[in-house]
Amino acid sequence: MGIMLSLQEVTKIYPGAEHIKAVDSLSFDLEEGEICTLVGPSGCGKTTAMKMINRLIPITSGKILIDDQNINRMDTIELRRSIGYVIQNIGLFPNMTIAENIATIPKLKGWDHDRIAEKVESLLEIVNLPAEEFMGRYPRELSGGQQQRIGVARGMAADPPIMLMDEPFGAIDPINREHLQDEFLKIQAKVKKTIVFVTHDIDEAIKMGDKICLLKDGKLVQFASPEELLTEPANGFVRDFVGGDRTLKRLNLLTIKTAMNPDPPVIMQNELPEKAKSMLSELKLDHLIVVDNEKRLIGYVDQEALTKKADEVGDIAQSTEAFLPASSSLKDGLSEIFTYELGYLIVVDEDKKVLGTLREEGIKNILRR
Amino acid sequence: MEIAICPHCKKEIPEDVKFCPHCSSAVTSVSYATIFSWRWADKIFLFTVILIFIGFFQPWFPGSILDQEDSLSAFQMLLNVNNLEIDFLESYNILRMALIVPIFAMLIYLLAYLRTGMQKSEFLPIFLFIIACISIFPFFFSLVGIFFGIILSVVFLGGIIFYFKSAFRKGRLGYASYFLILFFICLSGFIYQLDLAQTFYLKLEEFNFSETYGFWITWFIFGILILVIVLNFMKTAEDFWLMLGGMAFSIVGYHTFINPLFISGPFAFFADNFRMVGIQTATHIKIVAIALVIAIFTGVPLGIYITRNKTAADIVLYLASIMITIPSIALFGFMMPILSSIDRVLDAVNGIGIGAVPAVIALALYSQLPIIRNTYIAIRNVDPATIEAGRGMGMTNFQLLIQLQLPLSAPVIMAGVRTAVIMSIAIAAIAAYIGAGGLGLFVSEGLQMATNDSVIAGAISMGLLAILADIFLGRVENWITPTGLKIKR
Repeated sequence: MGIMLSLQEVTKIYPGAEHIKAVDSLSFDLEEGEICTLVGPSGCGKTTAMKMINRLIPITSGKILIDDQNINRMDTIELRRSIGYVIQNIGLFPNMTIAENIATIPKLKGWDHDRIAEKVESLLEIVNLPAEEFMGRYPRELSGGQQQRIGVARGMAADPPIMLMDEPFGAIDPINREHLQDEFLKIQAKVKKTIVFVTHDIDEAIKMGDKICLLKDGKLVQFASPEELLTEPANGFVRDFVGGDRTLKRLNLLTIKTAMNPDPPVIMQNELPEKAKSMLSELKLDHLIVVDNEKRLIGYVDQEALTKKADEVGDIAQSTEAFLPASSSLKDGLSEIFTYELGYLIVVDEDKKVLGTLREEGIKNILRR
Repeated sequence: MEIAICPHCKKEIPEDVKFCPHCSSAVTSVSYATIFSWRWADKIFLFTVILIFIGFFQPWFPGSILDQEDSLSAFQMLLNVNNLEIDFLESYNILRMALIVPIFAMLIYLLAYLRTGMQKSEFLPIFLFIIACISIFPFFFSLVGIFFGIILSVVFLGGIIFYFKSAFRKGRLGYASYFLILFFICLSGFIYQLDLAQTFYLKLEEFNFSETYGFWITWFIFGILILVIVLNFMKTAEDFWLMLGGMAFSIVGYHTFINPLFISGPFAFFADNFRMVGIQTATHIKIVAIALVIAIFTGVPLGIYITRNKTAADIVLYLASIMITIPSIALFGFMMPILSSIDRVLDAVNGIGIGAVPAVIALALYSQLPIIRNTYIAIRNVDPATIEAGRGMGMTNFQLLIQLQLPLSAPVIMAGVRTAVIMSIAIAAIAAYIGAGGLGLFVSEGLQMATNDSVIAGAISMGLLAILADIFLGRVENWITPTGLKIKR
């Protein structure tokens, strides 16, 4: 994948405040399909940096290249129409219906009617709002979360390769925000846009970004992947900004798969209970995982259960909720470990086949690495 | 009319059912209720007709407005009809009747409308149309001559009848009564306008008919009409009480309300000069409308321009504010010499120094402040997030203006236009002093000749005009406000 967006020594000095560089020699490259989160304390120049990309704010010096083309040589209006733009206050046009809002840029670009209608419907589908129900409604009839989804859909309407998003989830309550972030990541997995995402929330930056660009007083402090930012903060400022719990934050980024112990001892459900007993004492385990003949999780047996009389282990196996798919985050995994009685977590795949177990030691090891 | 109702849910049921089809409870004994299939408007219509009937016994009624010392009622004349020594046709001011009846009917209609349970019906538009007929027909005639006037009027009448077809769905008698009243009142306009009555009267003389016969024939038609209506509508006891109440109201109301207002007061002036009032109203509307169009087409673009230039905004708003503090009479005074000098240069015969031109210019200047200020404020108050989103998405300044700023600020701009219109209607009254005409003419002439009725009639007409203009512009405002903005969050 080629480099889609490239900032080279970009500097912004506002007229009337010549001694302050709002953005100071900012350089980074962004590959196609990546999300770059611009994050930093307020007044660090992250929004300024973003707005220079679609020339809402003119650049003082340096250059910005999109697909190796200098944006200063492009027509401003054409440039903006080729960049999706989603802002914090959503900025839906209250005088237009949802469909008209989404169709704004396609209309300005002169698409024909059928193509616009098709696009509007498909976009509403992508953002999970039924087209028939929402097309004719007005922004004020929608909840904040729905409006935000329309805002995202509008940003994507003209198939722009690049999208700029300025704290798009800033005005939404935490529960909905998390939901929308997840949904947005799902949409992004489908559409693969190159996105510059401004936020002041480091958690959001870590969650959404493929790359994080941490700014302070207009200067780039660190440009790195979330994992790198958490494990190798460039300096004290980054460490402070990321927070004392940066180790715990990594839990969000890592999947269970990275920390699990593969191939745990299991027992088939049609085995005799005696075999389970002997395995327990032999391996010095408290519990034994019971699976069916396709290695799908049934439950577990412990010493106490084995005192009951039964012909097969499957009859006395206790079912359990203490399992998660391997693609879940370590944060969820850790939480599950503490929730259930087993003391560890059974890791399964999508078919509920047992892949391994997740224990506290495994998490500790991976976080110390 | 009595219908069977369920004793529990009070809804209409067939008489022989055991269980109520609405609330499913057992019906042991059917209750009865009296229903009136009438609409309120129908009752008021009847009431009005009865009032006319009662007016027959009152001295103010048509036929009695005579140039004689003791006025007689039509009834008195009927008793004594052979002794009449009056010019029947001159006194037969049918127009006054035609004008008073709908006005009066509408007043009652509106009074009744304030009561709960009042339903809308076809009658309000019918009355409005009758008034429109009476005021529009003379315009037809004076505009396009008698021949085309008749054609236009017939087309107009046909249109009205066609339009109110729905009102006629009350059986043959009802059809006849509605048709007759409409026909009668509109005919009166014809007779007045074309001097048909004069011809009719002369014809009667040719046949050796005396004026008395003409009088009897007219009242015979009118009597039949009333009979038809009463027979068609007098169905319940309530109607009887309504009629009785109408009589009482009429007798009391005549001396306290009708006489001072309609007979000797401003309404009488209005009725006597209704054609002049109509023409001056049209002039008034014309002056204000032209000024308004000019003001909108200059004020709105100026208001838009100054949103982009702070210095210009300050200067323009200052100037507009100063403009509005100049007394209108002084402004007209300024205007006259300036425009007259143009006349001199152009060697104009019909100069523009006085009359409508300076009036229109002055009104357009006065209207600038509300229109410019509202446009400026409205556009500046459009949510900056909306504008930023539009700009960031690649709208040009013009597209931002047309697609976002103007639609979003339309209600506020329109509010400014409304203010300007109300203000202009008031200021245009002063323009009568520089020969622009308009309703101010009645005020200025009335003041000069110490005719209070003229002053009051002029003032009331302007007040009504302002209210109607405001209601109309309110509708326009509602219409141009984008649907998405009307939704409350």
